Amino acid sequence: MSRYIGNWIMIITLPYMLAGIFLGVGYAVGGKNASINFYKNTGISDPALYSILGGAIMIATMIILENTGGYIREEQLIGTFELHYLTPNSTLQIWFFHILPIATIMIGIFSITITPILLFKGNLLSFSEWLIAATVIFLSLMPLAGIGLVIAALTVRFKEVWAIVNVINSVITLLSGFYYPLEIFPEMVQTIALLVPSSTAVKILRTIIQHRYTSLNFGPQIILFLVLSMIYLSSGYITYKRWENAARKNGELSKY
Amino acid sequence: MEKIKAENLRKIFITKERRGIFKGEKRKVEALKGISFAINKGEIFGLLGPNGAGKTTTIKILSTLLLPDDGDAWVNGYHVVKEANKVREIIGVSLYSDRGFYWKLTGYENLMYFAYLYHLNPEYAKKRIKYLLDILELSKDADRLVEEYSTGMKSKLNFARALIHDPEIIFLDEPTIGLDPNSARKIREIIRDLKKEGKTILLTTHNMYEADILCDRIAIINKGKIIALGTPNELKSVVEKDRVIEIQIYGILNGLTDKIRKINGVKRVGLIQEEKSLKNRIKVIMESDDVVPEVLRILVSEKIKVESIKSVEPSLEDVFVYLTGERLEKEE
Amino acid sequence: MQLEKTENSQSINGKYLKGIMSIFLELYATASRGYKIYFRYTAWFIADLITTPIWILVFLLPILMFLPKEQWNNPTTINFFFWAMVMWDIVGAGLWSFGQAIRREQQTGTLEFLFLTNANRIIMFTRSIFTRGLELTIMFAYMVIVFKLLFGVDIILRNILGVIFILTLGLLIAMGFGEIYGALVLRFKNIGPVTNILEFVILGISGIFFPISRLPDQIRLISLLSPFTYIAEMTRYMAMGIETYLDPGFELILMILMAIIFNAIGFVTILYIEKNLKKTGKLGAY
Ligand SMILES: Nc1ncnc2c1ncn2[C@@H]1O[C@H](COP(=O)(O)OP(=O)(O)OP(=O)(O)O)[C@@H](O)[C@H]1O
Ligand SMILES: [Mg+2]
Repeated sequence: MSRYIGNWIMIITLPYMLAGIFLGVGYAVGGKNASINFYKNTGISDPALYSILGGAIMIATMIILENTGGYIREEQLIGTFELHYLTPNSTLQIWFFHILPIATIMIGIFSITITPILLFKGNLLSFSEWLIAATVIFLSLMPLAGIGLVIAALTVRFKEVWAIVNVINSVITLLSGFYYPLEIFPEMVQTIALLVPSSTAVKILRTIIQHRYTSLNFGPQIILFLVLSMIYLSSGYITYKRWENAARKNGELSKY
Repeated sequence: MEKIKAENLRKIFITKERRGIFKGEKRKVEALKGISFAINKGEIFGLLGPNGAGKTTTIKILSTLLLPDDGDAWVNGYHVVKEANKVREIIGVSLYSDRGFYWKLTGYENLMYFAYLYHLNPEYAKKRIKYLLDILELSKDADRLVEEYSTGMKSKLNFARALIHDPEIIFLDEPTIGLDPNSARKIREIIRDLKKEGKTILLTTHNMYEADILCDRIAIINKGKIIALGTPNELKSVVEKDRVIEIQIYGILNGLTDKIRKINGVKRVGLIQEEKSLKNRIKVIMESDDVVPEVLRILVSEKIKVESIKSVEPSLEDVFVYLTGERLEKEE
Repeated sequence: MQLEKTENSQSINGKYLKGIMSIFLELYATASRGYKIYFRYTAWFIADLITTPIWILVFLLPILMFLPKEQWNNPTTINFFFWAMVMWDIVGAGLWSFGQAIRREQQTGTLEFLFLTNANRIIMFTRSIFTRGLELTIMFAYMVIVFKLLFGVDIILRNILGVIFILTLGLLIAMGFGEIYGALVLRFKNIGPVTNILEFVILGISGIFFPISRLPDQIRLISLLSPFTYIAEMTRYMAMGIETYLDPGFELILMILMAIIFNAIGFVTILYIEKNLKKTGKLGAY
């Protein structure tokens, strides 16, 4: 754990640093009308909270995505992958049960990340607000884990996994609207963005944390999460099994 | 004429022990506790010892890859720390590692890259690499990416890299590990040919047989110290007066060797585990044949499945068992 | 104790190349090695082409939120952003390519074998200059098109030779910077996350999105300490004719000096790293 302490610090501070850069550059470029412009474009008058919240969700999303694929890749590099592989109770379960704890950790990290800024605004979340937020994060991370599993499956086949991760990451980031409203995109793009679970998560969390509006009916969104989870997890599983078999045949498991 | 000389080499590694989540303690590992030897021109000198004895550490110090904490060493008369550049020019080194190559380059390209870093004339390099690939029977795989190479192919490529600039002094760390019997024999032949050309060779190995047939002189090293040094025959004379029996058994029982060791008249017991079969060999070094019945009694009472028992000529293996006391490591 | 020294018998029949020729040989070897590997990672190349425009949007859209909608296609604003993206590549080259060079060889397991040769250490570990140079050229041309398509804005290039010169110089500065940073990378091993943060900090303080004259005084002082500030300033000066904060001639001389000094310190750093790794026995570590 202590070995990764740098990572945790970075995970928690990165949203603040990014917000700092966006706000810094934004105000420098936008001049004295910057705040007004921001309100007109996003409908929100607090760019700091807006950016930090978006950043916190972005980090959680990326970690989940990279974790499954990245974990395998690392093992391949070190050469222990094949060893793990040979023990009977490993294979898929290891990667999958790796994800659940991470999702829980991500909720913790998210909470820690947004606390300072909310504290600063003197406006902490109530327990019920936090509970809803945590549930939303958890639900939205499940389909993302599914995508992560697809990545993991591709890993076994394509050694240049970071190239693939990079493409998937960039598309998901673009369509999640962590730092801008998706309404600036054409209708079509907005519809496609529904397939990206984090875009819905961002919307709900903004409603809860920024507008303090919890009595909303999240039913449709929850159904969307569940459907997406099923689609991604099962396609992840199928791809994984397929490549696993193929890789076993070609003996490519440990090729880096 | 002495080509390599080591005097009182010491090396201590500082490692961090990881225990639990946050705890980390510094620990000193004394890898070499003062090692001295000299190797003559044209000699094949073997370092023999159990895992962690300090063989690789010795080779790395001599090849300028590691700085000793104390002691001196010279290669071709050049000091390995103060005249490292000169030393590097004249040595070829193969370290045991199945990494160490660029996966996205072919075997040929990898060798070419290192040849250029050795400043070899391109014409010469091409000829030399072709020659090395030929004698190592790697030619047909030369244009495949290294990421597709088998462990054995990588070992051979590693060997080729050590010889790329036709060095006069060659360090080989476990040159035949991971090779099939044919390839291993091939490598040994090449090593002998190199000796004929007048090269000086320092090699490490776990393979007693290999050490016996290849080396002019051998240093047995254990826990960072040289515990015996001499020609294979000189070393064998250590156990000359003793009787050695070899027992082939299936499986192994915990504590069996200890029980045998306790018998009066038994000097050493070594367990040699064969990697690929379930069979194990137990070597018992004893004062006289009188002890044999007692050994058999234990085997019977422990219900061990014995395949064969024979009395054998003392070999280097027995010297090793005798000197290092403990069990032997896995053999090829 | 001294043994009899026999002169290393190496000069026989032109087996070795000597002097300047050996340097050329090293340069040729490292360059060709770099390009071969670069083009064998086709997936990376394609991924870069796909993701570059996406990342540009991801990074620029948040900033555009602070501007009125009418200005989202303003040529000057967008041109500033274009050069900011180019600068991002240069900073990235310093931190990721040059900074991780030794660490990467260590991970591949080739470090020990490189150090067994007497090849020039700086050439061995700065070979990415070749691939990075090519990459920058390709990306540059590609981004001109992407910016035209995304924002409908043409890239202004007043003095193309000047721009090429400044960018090359910039790459050299990034190289020296990366060599020094490499010591840190080796010390702390998996420094990836920190590198990310550092990249953002550098980008943030180096006035790559707007002239540093717009910054508050104290922050501008920090900007002036960042070598990348001058690369950004001079590039915009050459490309768009934007005034520099200090005299352009002075900034140019400063850049040349930095390129020399950084690489000199970098060289010493590499030698120090080599010695240190040989002491601790970490040459072959992962
Ligand atoms: N870089 C290092 N850091 C810490 N300890 C090390 C390092 N390299 C070697 N050691 C330790 O030094 C001792 C000697 O290691 P060395 O590699 O020389 O053994 P060896 O005789 O080559 O063994 P083997 O037969 O297993 O190759 C071992 O205890 C090892 O753990
Ligand atoms: Mg060893």
